[in-house]
Amino acid sequence: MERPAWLRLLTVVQLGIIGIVILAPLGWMVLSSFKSSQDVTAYPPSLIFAPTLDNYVHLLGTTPFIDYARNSLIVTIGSTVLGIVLGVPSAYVVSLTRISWPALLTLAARMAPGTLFLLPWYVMFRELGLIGSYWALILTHAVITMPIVIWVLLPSFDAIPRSVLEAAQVDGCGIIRSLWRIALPLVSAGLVVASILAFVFSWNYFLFALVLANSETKTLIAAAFNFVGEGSTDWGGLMAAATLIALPPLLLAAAVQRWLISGLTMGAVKG
Amino acid sequence: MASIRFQGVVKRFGTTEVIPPLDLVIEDHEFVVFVGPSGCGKSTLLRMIAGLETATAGELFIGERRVNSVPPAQRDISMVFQDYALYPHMTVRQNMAFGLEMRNLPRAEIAERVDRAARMLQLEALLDRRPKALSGGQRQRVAMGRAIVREPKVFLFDEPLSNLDAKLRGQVRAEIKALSQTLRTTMIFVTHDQVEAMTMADRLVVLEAGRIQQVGTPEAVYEQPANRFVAGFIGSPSMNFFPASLKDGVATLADGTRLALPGCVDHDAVTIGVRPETMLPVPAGSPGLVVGIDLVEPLGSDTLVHFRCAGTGYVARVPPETRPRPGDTLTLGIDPARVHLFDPDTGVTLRHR
Amino acid sequence: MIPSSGKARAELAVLGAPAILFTLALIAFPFCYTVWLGFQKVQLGGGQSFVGAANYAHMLADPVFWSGLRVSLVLYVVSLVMQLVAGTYLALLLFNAKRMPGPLRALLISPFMLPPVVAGMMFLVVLDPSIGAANYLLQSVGLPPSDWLASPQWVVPTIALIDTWQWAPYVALIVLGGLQSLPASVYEAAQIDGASGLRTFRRITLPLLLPTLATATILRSVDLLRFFDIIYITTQGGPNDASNTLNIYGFRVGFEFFQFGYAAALAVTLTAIVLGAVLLLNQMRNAVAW
Repeated sequence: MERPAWLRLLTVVQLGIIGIVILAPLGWMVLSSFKSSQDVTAYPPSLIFAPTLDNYVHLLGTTPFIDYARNSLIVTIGSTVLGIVLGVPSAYVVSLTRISWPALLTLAARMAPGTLFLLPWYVMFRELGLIGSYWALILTHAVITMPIVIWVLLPSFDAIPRSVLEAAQVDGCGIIRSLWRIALPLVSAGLVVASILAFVFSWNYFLFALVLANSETKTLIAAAFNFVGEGSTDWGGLMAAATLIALPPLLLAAAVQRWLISGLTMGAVKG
Repeated sequence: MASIRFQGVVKRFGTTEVIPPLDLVIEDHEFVVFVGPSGCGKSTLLRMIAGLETATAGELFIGERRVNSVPPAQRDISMVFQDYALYPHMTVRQNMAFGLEMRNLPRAEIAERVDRAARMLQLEALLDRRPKALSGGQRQRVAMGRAIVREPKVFLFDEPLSNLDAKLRGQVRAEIKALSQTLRTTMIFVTHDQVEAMTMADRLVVLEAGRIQQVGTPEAVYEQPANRFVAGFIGSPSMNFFPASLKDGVATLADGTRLALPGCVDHDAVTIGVRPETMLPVPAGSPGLVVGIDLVEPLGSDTLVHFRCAGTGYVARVPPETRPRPGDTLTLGIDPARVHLFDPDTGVTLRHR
Repeated sequence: MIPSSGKARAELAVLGAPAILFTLALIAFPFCYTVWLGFQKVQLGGGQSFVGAANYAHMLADPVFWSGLRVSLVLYVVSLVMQLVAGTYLALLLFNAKRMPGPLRALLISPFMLPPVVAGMMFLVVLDPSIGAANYLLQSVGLPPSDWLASPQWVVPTIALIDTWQWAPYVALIVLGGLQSLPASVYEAAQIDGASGLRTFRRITLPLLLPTLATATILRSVDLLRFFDIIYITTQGGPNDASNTLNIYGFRVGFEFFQFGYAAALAVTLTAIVLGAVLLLNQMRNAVAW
């Protein structure tokens, strides 16, 4: 029996309400970023106001926002690249040999609070004089990106029929060459998704930069705290900063939304 | 026990009409098989009887009651699904009891019915197991048990044997047939396998593209097919069709062979249907089809001979003593009394036997 | 397919070595170091001495540890329940709707793809007691305004609400996958068996969904027990330690009070708690599998 029309309408209405609930805070954030300091602190809060770019101008012009953004880009791109360089070969090895103890170890690592690693890292990097360097941040953020790369690419590598790889073997291809010439081209879509997800999660990561960066290398996310500290009076600036920081991950996430949703619903994406 | 009546029933999915207006009457106590190729609409018809699909137009009656808008649970029917549809988290006993619980039957009666059905289907030892601990054949019996306990007016089977291996299929087929004789309830069985259809049915309903091609007993459908589709679908290996022209009681085939068919009206073009087992080897020189043998398949009880006539491949079923060999030439006699004639455009039977 | 030739083995080693070295250097070794550190007392000047289980003893006697444990667990349970209920509700709607248009898809993944820090910033403004839109909405329907994040009483549910806003869609997608994997014919059999909508949900859908809910629980538990980002950006554990989870406390002990040994003990303890919870939940998931 097909569902009656009024029931379908009810479903759509409820989904609409939920959509609004999800969208509302985001929309409010963007809206507020365009409000002048009077409008933003006005109570009752208004939906209609004269928009202004002052917050953005102030943010980008007077604060080190651009520097922090540059730092974030360096760290995020660097850790994504490192994650790929480390993760792709090891995902291939795991796919071929099914020996996965490094993967299990990283899984266990996922259950630990960041502090568990930050304490020794702080000591290690202090000894090496690397506190505040980009390298410290890139290496530690790679601890986030490498597992993502492995766990996105492993099913893709597994999906390559063993017979194709064996045919390559018979043709005289060594394992490294088969990865480079055969497997990698076949998983190129997975590689794109892995890179995007790695980028998003690295960009979003807060804790490590808080401790391991100095004022010059602080990433946007870690620096967000500054905006909050002084931001208790500058709500508009806070919202402008929040909007800008949120843009890259949201845009990139939109690029992989289909993959992400099908992965989650099919239980393949374990997080 | 109830009869079922389709009156001008139409089914459309969106703008596609899968079942044009259809009329059918199924008698009480009958074992009816809906048979036809994939996509012919047989499952859709079954699901309409169940109430899982609603008719877009027309009337459907179960017994004397118009059931178009009656939900499945209130139609007093039971269904055995192709994938058994057992509740995975419940034991066999709970699976069988569920429908009765939903009807708020007293617990004692539920237990009694479940035990009775379990005995009938030899499921007593499995009552506390879950589906994942059962074999395919066992799951199938549980599905039947679930259908039986409800003591419905009509049993519906949607290709229940497709997921079983060949040996089990034959066994379960016999069990279902035996069950139908014990319970005497109206049963409707859907299959794409014409052997299943022929062995189980009191009456067959042959379907193609949503249209009923023929309704009749297995013998009637086999010996007097209403059209070329039924003639070709029922019977294995399928009937041979020769394009020919007919004049003055003599048919001329595409390769020039002439066949005496006394008493037939003249036709410029006609299709002659000959079943493989009616083409018997005759001494060379006698009237018949002279063929070169391409392929021989000895079955033991008979031998299948593949040959070509005017470029098209055909099959004959000959006695094993004939010992045909590929490359041999054979003359096959055709008994004019057992030949079918079909209109080459519409496929309708012009004359048979 | 473990190849037998020496050359192939060497190649595999070359491919896998960088990641293994990286894992050893940045994960395994630091992990062991922290465990060792938990048994040390670290002086600010640079010395350290072995003190056995003194840090752990101190932890067990520390009232802030116990309140932190309580806050962590309460926040965990409240958030988890909220997310599971909201997520399942959303999943049922999505399942009934059958189609997911592009804009809805984008909307569903946005909350959890956002940096949690940004979510915190966003809600700081919305939930501000004096200028926030939330209080305005409450008052316009006649309800009393709340202090939200500033209230020691309501801060934990508020944070749970923020996290639910972020992660309920994630839970919903996982549960949706579970719903889609339920065989449709089972529902048709239930229809024929006479189960009404509510009974079908209680007796069939929900029990069959339990393994999926268990999976979603495990996935969220790993993050919820280590709640950090949102708290740090909004309340830093306040007001008066009302939102001071173990993770926040451990971090502050380490990097604001510089008691590395004690911080290590706290971190190890929290890891053990998360690991224990995951193992327990995994057992429960196996129990409900069908």
